[in-house]
Amino acid sequence: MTSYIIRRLISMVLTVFVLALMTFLLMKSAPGGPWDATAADRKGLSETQQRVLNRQFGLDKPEWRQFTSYVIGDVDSEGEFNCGAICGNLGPSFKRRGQMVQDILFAPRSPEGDFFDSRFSFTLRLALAAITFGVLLGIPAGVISALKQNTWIDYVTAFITTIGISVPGFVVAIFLIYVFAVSLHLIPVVPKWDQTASWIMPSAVMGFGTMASLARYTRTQMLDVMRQDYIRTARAKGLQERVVVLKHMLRNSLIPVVTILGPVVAGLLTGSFIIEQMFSFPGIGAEFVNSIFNRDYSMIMGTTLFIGVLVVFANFFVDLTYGFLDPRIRLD
Amino acid sequence: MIGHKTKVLGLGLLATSLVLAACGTAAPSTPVIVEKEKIVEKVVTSAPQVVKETVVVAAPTAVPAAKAKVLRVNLGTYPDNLDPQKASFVNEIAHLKLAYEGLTKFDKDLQTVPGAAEKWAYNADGTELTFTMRKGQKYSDGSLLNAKRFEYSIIRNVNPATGGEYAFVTNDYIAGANAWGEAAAAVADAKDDAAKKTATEAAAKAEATLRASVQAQDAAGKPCADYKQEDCLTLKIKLGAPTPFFHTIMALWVAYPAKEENITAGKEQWTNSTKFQVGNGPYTWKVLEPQVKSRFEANANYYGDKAKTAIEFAYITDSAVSFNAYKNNEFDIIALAAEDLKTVQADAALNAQARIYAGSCTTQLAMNNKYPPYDDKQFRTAVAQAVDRKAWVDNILQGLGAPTQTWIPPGYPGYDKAEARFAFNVDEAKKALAASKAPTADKVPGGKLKYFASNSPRNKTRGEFLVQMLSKNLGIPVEMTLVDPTEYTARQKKGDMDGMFLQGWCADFPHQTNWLPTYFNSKSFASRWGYSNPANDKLMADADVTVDPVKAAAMYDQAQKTIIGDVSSMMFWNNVNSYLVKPWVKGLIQTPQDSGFAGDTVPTAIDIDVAMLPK
Amino acid sequence: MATLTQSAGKAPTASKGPITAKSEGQWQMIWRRLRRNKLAMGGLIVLILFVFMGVGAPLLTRQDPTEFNLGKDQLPPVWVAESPAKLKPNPEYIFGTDSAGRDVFSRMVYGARTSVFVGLIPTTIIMLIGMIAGMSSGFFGGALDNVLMRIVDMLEAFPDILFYIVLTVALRETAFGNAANGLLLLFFALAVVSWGGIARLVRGATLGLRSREFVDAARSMGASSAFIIFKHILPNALGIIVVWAALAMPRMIIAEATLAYLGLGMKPVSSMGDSYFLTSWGQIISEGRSSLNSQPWVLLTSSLCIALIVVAVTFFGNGLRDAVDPQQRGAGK
Repeated sequence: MTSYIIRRLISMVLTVFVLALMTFLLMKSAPGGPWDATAADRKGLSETQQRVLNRQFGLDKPEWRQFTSYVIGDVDSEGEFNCGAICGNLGPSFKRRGQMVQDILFAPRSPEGDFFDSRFSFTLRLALAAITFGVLLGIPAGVISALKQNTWIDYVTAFITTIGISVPGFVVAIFLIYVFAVSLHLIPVVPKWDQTASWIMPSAVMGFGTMASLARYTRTQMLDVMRQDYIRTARAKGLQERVVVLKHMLRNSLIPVVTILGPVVAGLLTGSFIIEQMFSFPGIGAEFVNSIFNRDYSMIMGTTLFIGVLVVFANFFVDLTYGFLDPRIRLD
Repeated sequence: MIGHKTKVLGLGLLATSLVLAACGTAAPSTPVIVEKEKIVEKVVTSAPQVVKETVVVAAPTAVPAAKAKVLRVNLGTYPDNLDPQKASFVNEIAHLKLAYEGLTKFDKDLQTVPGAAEKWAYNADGTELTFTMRKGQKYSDGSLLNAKRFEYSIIRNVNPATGGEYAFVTNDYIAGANAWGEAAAAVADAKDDAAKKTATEAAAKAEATLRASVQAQDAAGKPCADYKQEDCLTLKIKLGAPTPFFHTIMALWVAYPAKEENITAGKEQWTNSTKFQVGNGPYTWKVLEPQVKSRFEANANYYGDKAKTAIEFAYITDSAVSFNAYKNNEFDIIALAAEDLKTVQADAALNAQARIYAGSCTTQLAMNNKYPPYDDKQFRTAVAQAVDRKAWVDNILQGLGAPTQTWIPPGYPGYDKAEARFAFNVDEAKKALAASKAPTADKVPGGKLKYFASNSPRNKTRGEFLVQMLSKNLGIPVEMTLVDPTEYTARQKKGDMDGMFLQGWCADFPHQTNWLPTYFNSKSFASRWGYSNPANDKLMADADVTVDPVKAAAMYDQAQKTIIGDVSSMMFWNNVNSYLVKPWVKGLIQTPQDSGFAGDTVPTAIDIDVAMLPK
Repeated sequence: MATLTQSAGKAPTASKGPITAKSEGQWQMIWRRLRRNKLAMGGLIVLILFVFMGVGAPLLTRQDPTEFNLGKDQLPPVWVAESPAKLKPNPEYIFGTDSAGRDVFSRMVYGARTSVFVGLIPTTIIMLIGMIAGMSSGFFGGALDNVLMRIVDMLEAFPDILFYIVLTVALRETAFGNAANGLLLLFFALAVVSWGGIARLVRGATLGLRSREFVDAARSMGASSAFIIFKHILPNALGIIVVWAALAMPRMIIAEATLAYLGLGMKPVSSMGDSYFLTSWGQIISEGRSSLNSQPWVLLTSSLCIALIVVAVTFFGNGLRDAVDPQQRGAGK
């Protein structure tokens, strides 16, 4: 087990490194620099200003050095060592000059706020709400459609879940906004994030996909388990149907479901971009989308790196959990 | 079958998570109490902090109609940079304009009037500007505002380390500003320690020179000691060359007096906190929730006209959502998107609420004077008279624009209302064409005229319309060339497009110098289409240094007339500001310089008729 | 929705026996099973319809999808009496016009081209790369296998949409990004990240197959590795590959729509002759968003089309998977 963990850790570090390298190279190959005026008729920064800023932000260093100083850190002009990405320092934002990327993502949005006030906490809470939504609706749906296989319940669920998996989130969001906020005026159009009402729609949209995947997967697992011998044994022993289902079927089905939580979490974190932007939700995703529009390269890179690391860790954690839960699985 | 318990637990979890999600957001609650004060405010004018605790409406339920006066505006994108010395976009400035005020400010006619400074004076040749501040001015938190504050903020704008996009607006004029920038760049460029040492010393000298150019002084002319000094009311600024319009520049946000100690205390996040964004403007910044909302309330310590309403900004980027929120009475002012114009016009009530008025930009149809037949003035005259501006505005711009024959837009100092020499007139155009060097296609090099546009579906359609109109009215075939966008900018700057193309300009500040010499000097933008009139260059340069504003205005006027008369390009259209404003918003003063929302040049004039608010 | 980085459900296992004279029979069996799955057939029909729509677009449309019809913008579709802007429909434009006056119907039809091709082309490329990588990896093993699988691990760890975005943002303004109106970059971005999944599947199948007797038999007869791979391994692995492709198509279509929505997809085309691909549904969605109040049908029809094609292909893919390996479904039909 330990050797597995160590190997995975090494592999993860390598993956993240490659991710960072690729993102860095791509950002550097984009034409234009961080100081270019965003519109053709704007003056932008003068050439002298750019020279000063380049020195300030370390952009006058050779490319390889910029990369290592971004990832690991570098010694600045005063001889002090400034730690890089591995310490959580994701560099200065080019558009929001004066603010560091990690502050934009993780720090409370204003000095008076607390953790709940940071963009990351908003995204996190939205993901949690989506997962809860998905788990509470998806797993029972999957179980029921497995138990009632090939009946109309099964078909309807299959239909809905297929739609849920296939239709892109922003399409669903568009329809929902149109129906609920615009036509029916059920939800205030201008969101107020301290009120639960405003959280419903974004959570529902994001959770819908999770629900669909979980339902689908749970059903498959349940069907698989249902055919197993030990279920027949349990029934033959005379156990109540309810006990059979709960104790044996469910537990054994849910174990593999854990494995898709990794991609689900990854999908939530990355799928939240557009949804956050559509609902003007103050999370990381919306910030990321805006930095794309703004060509704020350091922001794009920092966010990509962060989410990439998160996804890698999520997958690793899930694999580990899977290994613990099911002794039949040998992780090697 | 699924454990009933599990279901209940699950639902409970779901509910809890939703509630937690919402609860976790620290909702800065706005004390409703403060709103009530507004109703009594008119009685209590200049006595600060008096009414804050007095809640006149003891039993709120007894007076149901006494609603809070809040102007709710959807600003659109949340700004990147709320630092006065780094801001450059409209949305950023919209916030700063409310919380801060410069040494001067603009009135409803965009004339420069006293702001934090009650008067100013130039020396004889316009190379030194002295401001005299109002006595006893306070920030919104009650602390003193003296000249040293402005000294700090102006120097901060010049400081190369600040790196604001609008540094040029002070640096091009203050003595030693650009030199400091150059010296700092030299330090950045220094390759080895020895070079660095010399460069750093030179930079220190340059900085000292600049600091001597911007000095806060007391009545005796001695440099002020600190921010607490009460008789520190004079600010002397040395200008590199005579700049009689520098007082106009001091109304811009670049010199807004952000507090030094706040900037230091808040470090990088200082701009995101109302604790540190303490200003001297007509409003106090009460709430700042990035990407969600901002709230401004009347600054009781403001010396001038008190604000009549509070202002709240929301940041909904989706124009469709914004429009719906407006219809739902969740906003009082929003920007009217072009896509919604027809819907608004089709509805009588909404149409009455639409405010469409001249903006701050002008677009012209440039003709490259370097290439025949555009080197012939008669030919250019023919072209200028062959374009139906109104048809363009109606068909292409859907009415969101205004035809113009002059350069400076209406509402700006120097606007020439009477200019009508190149009105649309096909007969006159044909006459001019007949008298020109190229009356027919065979006299034109290549047999046809060229029109250049940056490649995009929108530009293509516009181009097609224009090209068709010109061909028909001139009787000479005109061909459009779509150029790849990045190449287009490069070619524009090189000036090698041998034909016609559109060029535009928007005002940085309301003064003729920003429109005329900045743009039409032979060496600046005008070189892109080969316009050169050295005599006019001199006239404009002279106007720039004429201290007497009346004389200067006359000189600018003449220069503009010359520019139009030379018809190096055809003046085409002005853009418009388009907003939807609820009928209960009263007293709103529109100016072309409005940037964040309609009326934001003089926001204190805005009032809300509470009786008209929906119940 | 959360686009999973792995397809939901288990990967089908290779069929149980060597493919010999029974190969035609096996595919006929698959087809028979597929035919009985009504949803899957429905999906296939819809897909074919869309393909015809895309390919035959010039025949189906009368209006120019790129032409800005001045003065005729935001017209409603013919079945609506009056639009919110109080405009009456014009029978020349059956689905109405968008904010720029372009005919919505012809844009929808031409948009089908992009969606279908975006479904097909990157999927095919990925399939090819993945197949070659997977089969080589599984068959030859050793260092090649190690290296390839490490690369696949890394690729799988990337959140793919993130990578598409970064890649597109970075290269959008370059010559490469401008080729084919930005579609070359799009296909490249989609292909480069996604081949890992199929490679892994194919590798698994190859591993299972290479130790079979018929491989030994072929080898003893002097067959080269390439011959064995193509004649024996490939046909057996084809089932998995086809199913995977069918399930990957919707992901590609969604990725394109998402990128277009963010403004990172195809570049706008100015006139009909400029390119084979004039527009995409994702682009129409992104253009139509701001006119939700005045001309909602642009947004609604384009969203509906994306939803339809994606659902159709998903149903078909699921059906195909169930048909190829009936054990998958538990109590198979």
